[in-house]
Amino acid sequence: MRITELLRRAKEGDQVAAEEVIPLVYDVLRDLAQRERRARNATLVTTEILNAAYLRLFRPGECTWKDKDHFTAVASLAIRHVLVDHARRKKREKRAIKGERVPLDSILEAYEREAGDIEALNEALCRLQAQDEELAEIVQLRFFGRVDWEDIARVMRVSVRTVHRKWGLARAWLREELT
Amino acid sequence: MTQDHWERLKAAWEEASQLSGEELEAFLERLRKEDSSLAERLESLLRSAAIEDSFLEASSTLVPAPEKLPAIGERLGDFEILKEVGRGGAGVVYRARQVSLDRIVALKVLLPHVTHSPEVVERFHREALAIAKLDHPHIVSVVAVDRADENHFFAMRWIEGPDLASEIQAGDAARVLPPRSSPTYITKIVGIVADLADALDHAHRRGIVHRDVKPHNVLLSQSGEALLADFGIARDAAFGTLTRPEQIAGTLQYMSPEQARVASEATVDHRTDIYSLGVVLYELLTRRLPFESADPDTLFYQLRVVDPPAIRKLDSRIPRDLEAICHQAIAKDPRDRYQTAQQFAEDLRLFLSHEAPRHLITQSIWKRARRRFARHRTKVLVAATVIVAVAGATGIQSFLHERRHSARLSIEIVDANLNPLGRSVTGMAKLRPLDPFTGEPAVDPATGRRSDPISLGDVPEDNFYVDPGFYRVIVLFEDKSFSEHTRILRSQEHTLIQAVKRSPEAPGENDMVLVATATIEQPIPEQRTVCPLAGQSIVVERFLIDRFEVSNAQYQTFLREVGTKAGVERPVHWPPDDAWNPEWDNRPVIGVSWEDARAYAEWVGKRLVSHAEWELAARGPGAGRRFPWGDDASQENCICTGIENPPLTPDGEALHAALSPNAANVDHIRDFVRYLEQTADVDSHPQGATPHLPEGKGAHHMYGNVSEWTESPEIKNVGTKQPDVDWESRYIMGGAWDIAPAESDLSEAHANWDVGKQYVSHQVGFRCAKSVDP
Repeated sequence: MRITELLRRAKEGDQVAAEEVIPLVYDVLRDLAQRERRARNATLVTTEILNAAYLRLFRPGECTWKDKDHFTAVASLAIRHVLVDHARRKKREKRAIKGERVPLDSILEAYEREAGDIEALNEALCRLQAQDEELAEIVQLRFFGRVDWEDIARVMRVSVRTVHRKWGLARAWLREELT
Repeated sequence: MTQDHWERLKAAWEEASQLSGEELEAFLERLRKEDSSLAERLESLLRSAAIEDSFLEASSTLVPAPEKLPAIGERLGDFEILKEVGRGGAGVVYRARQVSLDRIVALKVLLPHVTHSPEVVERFHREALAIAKLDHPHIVSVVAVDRADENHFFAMRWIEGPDLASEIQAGDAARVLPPRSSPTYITKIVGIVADLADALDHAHRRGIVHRDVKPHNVLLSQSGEALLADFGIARDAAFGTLTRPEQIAGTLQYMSPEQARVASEATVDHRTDIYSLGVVLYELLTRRLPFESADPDTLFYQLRVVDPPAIRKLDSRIPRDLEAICHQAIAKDPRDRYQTAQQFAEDLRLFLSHEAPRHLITQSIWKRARRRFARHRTKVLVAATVIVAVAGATGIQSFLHERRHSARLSIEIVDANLNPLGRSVTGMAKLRPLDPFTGEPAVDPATGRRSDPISLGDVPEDNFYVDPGFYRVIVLFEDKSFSEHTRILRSQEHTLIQAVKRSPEAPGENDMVLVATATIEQPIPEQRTVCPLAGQSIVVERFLIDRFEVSNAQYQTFLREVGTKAGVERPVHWPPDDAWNPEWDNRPVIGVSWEDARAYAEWVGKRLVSHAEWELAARGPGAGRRFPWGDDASQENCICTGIENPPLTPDGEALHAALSPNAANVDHIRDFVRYLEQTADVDSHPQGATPHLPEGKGAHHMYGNVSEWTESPEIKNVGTKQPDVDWESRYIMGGAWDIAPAESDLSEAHANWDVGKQYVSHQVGFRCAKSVDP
């Protein structure tokens, strides 16, 4: 299915569309992880996964900035799913993994360095979502999607300062939930 | 916390976070008096928020930064960017001005995301330098290789003129090529291809293989000269970025079979270019590609196994010699092709001067075919073994980028007998390539023989890397029992199979009937139907088929044992369990999606029926019967009223009313009641069973009652030159109660339906099959 079609459906709140972005995002994450491993000596600096994913999935001019915002939202959710899923699978698999680590391991570890157990975070985030969807959305975009503050503000249609304030509450709330 | 509490907490937070020092203290003091628990919670949150650490900071280094691409007007070293003219997976091409020499060049800049790896960058420069040394009138010369800041680029001569791809697309409106009807057309294109073969020969002699010869990479100057561009630079990186099927397909169409193979990087040599150039010639001659499927999986299959249509069959005006030359260039086995580009060029020029080609390999077709078949087999086996060995010894990662096309397959084993000793069950896995157009094991067109299964190795195993394709995966257990799993294994995708180990006396096995090996040769009916098998002669290997459609009771047992954890869903049409009437137990199950039907079949140690198998079982060998029982259109033999939505009887209405209050979906209940009124038990109507032996043990309800899922994908464009496979759709066979013998017999009882979970119907059920010789 065409990406733009997925986005259109995602925009209409179709959860299925988010599910369908998951394999695409998974591929991107996996490739990034592999590249990171191969470029062992390269200097790594911060940037967004989504940019890479976006570049991968769209031809320039294929869709508008508005589409990109929807993509950002859907892909952040997809990343969350992929990571939580991977964490679960890792726990479940008693069998030793042959050979080297699976590509997603390094990305999961990077996330867990900041969040502790990703499954626990996910559950806490679900509780936050039940309480306040907007706050949960910000965490999803920022933490899972690594989206810039400005972009989050545009996606959420609020000011950057408001995003910061709400983020502060969400982060503090989650920290308490997790300790 | 109630919503009200939460809103107050949020409001307090908003206020507090804009205050500091004494103001904040005063605010908190006030709040403590008003609502002490709220104040307590807020203070606690404020303390948490004050902790400065990396919690959720989203600052970890995950990915190398993409450097910026140059903008229009910007300078990159000696070059001024004028205009973006093209973009591929690996790089952007600009029209640029070389300032020092004041000349226009084409500047190719590597996309940032491929320059992260020092290896790629190193290879890029190495190859660009090698290509810069090529000096040939039909190769676009590289005039500079450099980097500026983080950008790696090289400059090529600017060719004013179209590329061959756009010329082909333009048809008779082409700018450089004469129209196809023109008497000079063939001379012109043969000349072009001969020049390109010269260019390739020049490169090959210097150890450079292009690997990506396609019309897009051939530029036509205004004087009509063809120039080859884009020698193999950054091709690996380019491939890693193709994620959309149509992109992969576009590249595959010119790719040689050995190049499209897995783990055979080492065996790809200069002859791959001869193949690709042969495809270009083929396209120029016939204006179509040897294989045109838009689906990469089908293309992979065709590339490896299928012979392209003979050129003169497509256009009988094309001279015989030219046909022979072209087909030799695109032979599947490199050893059957021209061995050098020079030979290819020479034969083309001989053709132009009306002389006989000199380098055609004069071998009997049969000898060549046999040789090819034998080699093909060993190569696949060797490749599979090597992969397993390497995977075990050095780990998957280091090997991965060499296998950019492969599909990953994991096989788990689930012991249905719950081995009490805790000894885990092991087995051996094999792969049988299937022909997606018939669903039967693939036939090598050259030998007419079925290809043998490929041995994969011991299971359970997480990482088999195999050529993408349509397969039956067979797991053989130690006690000779086996399970079968029909799957499409896709390039770069991971497929997980759970093989259920059952004791040989598995449940239901004795309710199957043996269908002997036979050929079906169904005639093409006057009114063309969707049946893709008609008009073909297909050998169907012997197999066992369920005598009955899977019943509600059987499906209920399955659901009870696997639960919903396997992702299997309870049929949506079923009323709640407490309203269930045991009289319905023996009716055929309905409301099952294709995936769930397959899950059931594999859970009982069987598989779904293939399209061809279903035809053979229901209609018999040869031209086939009109109905399972014979040729007479007798309505007494089946459940077939010809009416899709008959009104409910008064009893039915009463049942509907009784069931509805507890039902999630009243429409489904109406469908369910109608289904109850229209269908019969799976073992009823023995007079309408197939005549299989032993007598009285044929298959029931293969016509009417409910329609049945098969494992075979839908074939689109049936009867045209370019049929294609739709992997999202499967055939459903035999018709349901709404079919009428007087109107349509089995030759018209086909339909197809999508595979997603949401595609369930109260008219579609299924039965299972099992191979005899897996």
